[in-house]
Amino acid sequence: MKRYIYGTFLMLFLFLFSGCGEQGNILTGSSVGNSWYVGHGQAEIALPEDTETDEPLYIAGYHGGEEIAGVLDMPCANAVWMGTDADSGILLLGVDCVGLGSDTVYAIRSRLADFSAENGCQRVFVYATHTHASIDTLGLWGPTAVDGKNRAYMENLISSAVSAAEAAYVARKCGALYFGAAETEGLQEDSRAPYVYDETLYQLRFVPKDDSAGTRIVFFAAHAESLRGDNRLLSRDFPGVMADTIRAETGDGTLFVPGAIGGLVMTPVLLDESTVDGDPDFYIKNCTATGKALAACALSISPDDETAVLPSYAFAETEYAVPLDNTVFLYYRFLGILGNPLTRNSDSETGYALHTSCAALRLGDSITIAMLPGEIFPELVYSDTEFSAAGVGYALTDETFPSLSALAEEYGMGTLLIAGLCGDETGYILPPGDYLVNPDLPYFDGAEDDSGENHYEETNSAGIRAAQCLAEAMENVFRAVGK
Amino acid sequence: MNTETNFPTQNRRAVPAPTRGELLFFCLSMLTAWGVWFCALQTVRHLGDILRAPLLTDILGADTQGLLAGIFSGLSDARVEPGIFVLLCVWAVFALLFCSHNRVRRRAVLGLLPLFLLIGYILSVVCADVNGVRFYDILFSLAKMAGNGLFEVL
Repeated sequence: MKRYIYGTFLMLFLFLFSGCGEQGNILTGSSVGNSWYVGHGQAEIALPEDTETDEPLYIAGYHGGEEIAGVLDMPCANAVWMGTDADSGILLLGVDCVGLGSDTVYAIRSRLADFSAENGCQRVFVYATHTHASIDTLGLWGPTAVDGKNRAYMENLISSAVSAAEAAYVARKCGALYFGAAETEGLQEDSRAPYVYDETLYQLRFVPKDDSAGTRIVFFAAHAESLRGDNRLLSRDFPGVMADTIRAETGDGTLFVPGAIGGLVMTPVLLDESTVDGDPDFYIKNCTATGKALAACALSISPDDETAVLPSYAFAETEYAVPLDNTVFLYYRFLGILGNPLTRNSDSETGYALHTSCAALRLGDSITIAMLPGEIFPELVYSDTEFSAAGVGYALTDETFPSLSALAEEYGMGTLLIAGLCGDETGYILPPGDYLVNPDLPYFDGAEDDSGENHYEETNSAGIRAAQCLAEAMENVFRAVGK
Repeated sequence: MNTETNFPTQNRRAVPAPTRGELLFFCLSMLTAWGVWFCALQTVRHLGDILRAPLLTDILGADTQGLLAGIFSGLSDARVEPGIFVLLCVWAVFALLFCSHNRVRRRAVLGLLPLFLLIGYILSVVCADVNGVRFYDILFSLAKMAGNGLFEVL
């Protein structure tokens, strides 16, 4: 009898105190067919009527408590239906916003539950384009400790996502899917050492059999903030200009997907900065120039340089828990701003673990999209060497973990594309060895290392174990997709 | 001469049953406890409103004021722990039963009921579960960072 009691306590102990690596069930799905069935849908996210709510519309990305001053261009929800037969498929939903909490993504998926059941939609993947010229959809840019989200706007966002999804399904056509890439030059800058980023723009291009307008999904690693921090105008930023330019040139509907943008990878100012003082529209012109440069890059990919993607897909998605070190995130959850569920976890600074999810979507036999819940540092994706799980003053361990590209190679995933801010926005995902927080006010105040490098990103990260937990979860989904 | 020591059984029998006043006081106390427990977080929530007073902006600074007010206002979303109230009631009933043979002790316990209520009130608030986070975790972290000079920085 005693053995059972001790056993029960041991199981309870292991359950309660298991740290990084808490994995949920893996959701999988796949389909193989003879052709691709792809459709694009788009729906504008309307601003709420003044009478609908008294809640202000705060602009996201930079300063707290500042409201939008006007509209440059309206944010949209874009959806792509992808199937390998006429009766089933998956949805990729991109929303022009700074980020979406897991509660919002859950709401979108719930609203699409009937649609999914009726139309054979196996999974809805939702991501944010991370435009910093958007309405605050995470709740972080209201006044201190006040949820900055506007409930009426969030409702409009969810409705638009649903409309875009339905339109994408209706618009689906039979055709071929191609993959191509183009090297960019001078379109990125990294504000933090090591200066690592992927300069390649990747494109998935669907061409319908009837030669009508197609669909493109463009992957590029840069924060959508070419309008910069003083902007108060609502906009899709450069992804909007890029999509509009491609549509004007080809008629194709386009989705922009942010890649590995952590640390902090953004587009540079492409215009002569000496004219900035005399030109109130300087950064609007910069946004236009950036979007057009990226559109030109995408359009430069010749059909001869593209490879056909076999009509098959497989996906795997898993929930996992990250030990939550960031006290500010704990406050956000307490105040109802952060949507992610928390559970008790003795392995973190706050005593809680944050639950999130990640996924892998394999297209054909040569392309895999890693869908990551946040802004991952590029070195965590592309490094050839393993990362130590130990950090400065933290996590005394001999554990190491590989980069995502190494994992993808190990499991035969082919070319790895990164879709950041997908399913969730858990902030920056940093290498533990480069993780430094302010010793006096961790996560409230930034830190500076001996070399003078600013460690701002840590203040917007879940904790030092985020990268390791993600690597473990991604290994599980790669393994599941590879089967 | 201490008769209680020598003849406890006889003495227990000799003590009269609780008076109507005592029973009424006990019942009212329990009802008050229920009310206090029920209203605990609602009342603390108003601390948030009080903390937003413009007068305090100069004293605390806008960010600190916003943070503290937000946290106390956040208690309005709390899931109150009924277990704490139940525990308190059980404790009070046992205390009364234990002392029922002695009117002096019984009245002392009754007199201490408001203290129990206060403890229950504090426990209800401190242990409140708000969106899956315990309020005491927030208080601990605030206290820890207050020691590190959070409010000066804010």
